[in-house]
Amino acid sequence: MRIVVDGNEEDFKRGSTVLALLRGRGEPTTHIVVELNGVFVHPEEYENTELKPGDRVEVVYPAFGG
Amino acid sequence: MSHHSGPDGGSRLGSADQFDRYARQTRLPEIRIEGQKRLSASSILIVGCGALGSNLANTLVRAGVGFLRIVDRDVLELNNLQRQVLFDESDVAAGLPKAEAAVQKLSRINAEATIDGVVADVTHRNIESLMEDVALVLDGTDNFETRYLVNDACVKNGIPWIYGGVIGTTGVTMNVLPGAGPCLRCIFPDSPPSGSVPTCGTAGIRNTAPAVLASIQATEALKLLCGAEPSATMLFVDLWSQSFRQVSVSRDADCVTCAKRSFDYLNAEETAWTTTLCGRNAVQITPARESELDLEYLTNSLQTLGEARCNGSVLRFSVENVEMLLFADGRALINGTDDEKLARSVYAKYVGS
Repeated sequence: MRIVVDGNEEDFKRGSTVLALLRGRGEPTTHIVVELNGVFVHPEEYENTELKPGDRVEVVYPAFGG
Repeated sequence: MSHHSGPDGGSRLGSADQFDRYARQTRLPEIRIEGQKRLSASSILIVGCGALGSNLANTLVRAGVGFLRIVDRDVLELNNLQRQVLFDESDVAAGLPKAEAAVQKLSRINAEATIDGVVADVTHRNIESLMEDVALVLDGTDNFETRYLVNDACVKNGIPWIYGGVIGTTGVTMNVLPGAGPCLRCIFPDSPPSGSVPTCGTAGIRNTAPAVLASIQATEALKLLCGAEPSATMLFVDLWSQSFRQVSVSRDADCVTCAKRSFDYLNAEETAWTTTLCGRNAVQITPARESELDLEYLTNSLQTLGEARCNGSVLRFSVENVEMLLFADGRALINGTDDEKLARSVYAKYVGS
């Protein structure tokens, strides 16, 4: 299925989850902020949130220095 | 160790009207005289006086916040001057702790403000007393441990705090309003593995990022202190690409801190510990119990063993290819090593266990 990740269309297996997407891209899976179709996804929900065709995923990396 | 400055009966500059210095600010409909009075009556705590903290203190003291407590564990280094706006070369040459230098500088900026500078590591032992009588806490820290501790203490006591973080050309900020929105652990439930998150020391930082991010934090602080509605989103800023992005974050119904009210960081056990300061080639030693060391006496003793000098606040001792900075409360920074065992050994040898 095709989903949009950070503005780019990509192919993913049907039934993929947010967690699988992050792991598949080699992304960190903690201390990030994920939005699915403009809605914030809590970290504990990454493995339970199944992606559907046409979904838009945005991953943002917060800063922790000061 | 605390350093104070307080109002000396009005501005040294002899203004007849108490709020003359804020004339450009009280014209704003969001502030007016009423808002300015609220600022003058406000008390805040800034945790950390680095890039974010020094910008926050500079802005909010100039804006007329009446009482500021600022706490920082560190001593000034030359590379701080690139982004830590309160300090200058003479402060670095004097080897001043940041919180002490901040009191001196801020009192010259606005003599009407009361500034309490605390040279200390923020720990579970002191965070709640540091927060006593303040209406708002601002994040000027550079590490997770302290942020989670501030989060615990603020959620437990119902005090709002404003998270801020910067790296490279990016920054992020979020208001934590206990009972009304997500806390930090709703968004980041677990502490990251050591070394997995870049620091300013390892990844670098442009001085524009803390200036912008701290201004946004300070704006939210002014809203909260003046009774205006604060932002409910998490804001991400990238100055290089000029992008500003708001994420509508939400509470986690199972959050260990704000839902279950389990304050793991606040309820830490009483043990001594060492902390490697990422990107700094330094180790911090914190004894299990605070002491009241006689630094002058210790300096005299150590001078027979190595190069030792004291400026009243900090004892500097160079020996065995490291430099130890020792504070009166017993805490030490061992510069020149990231080996915690070596650092503990130096401490035990020259200060005691």
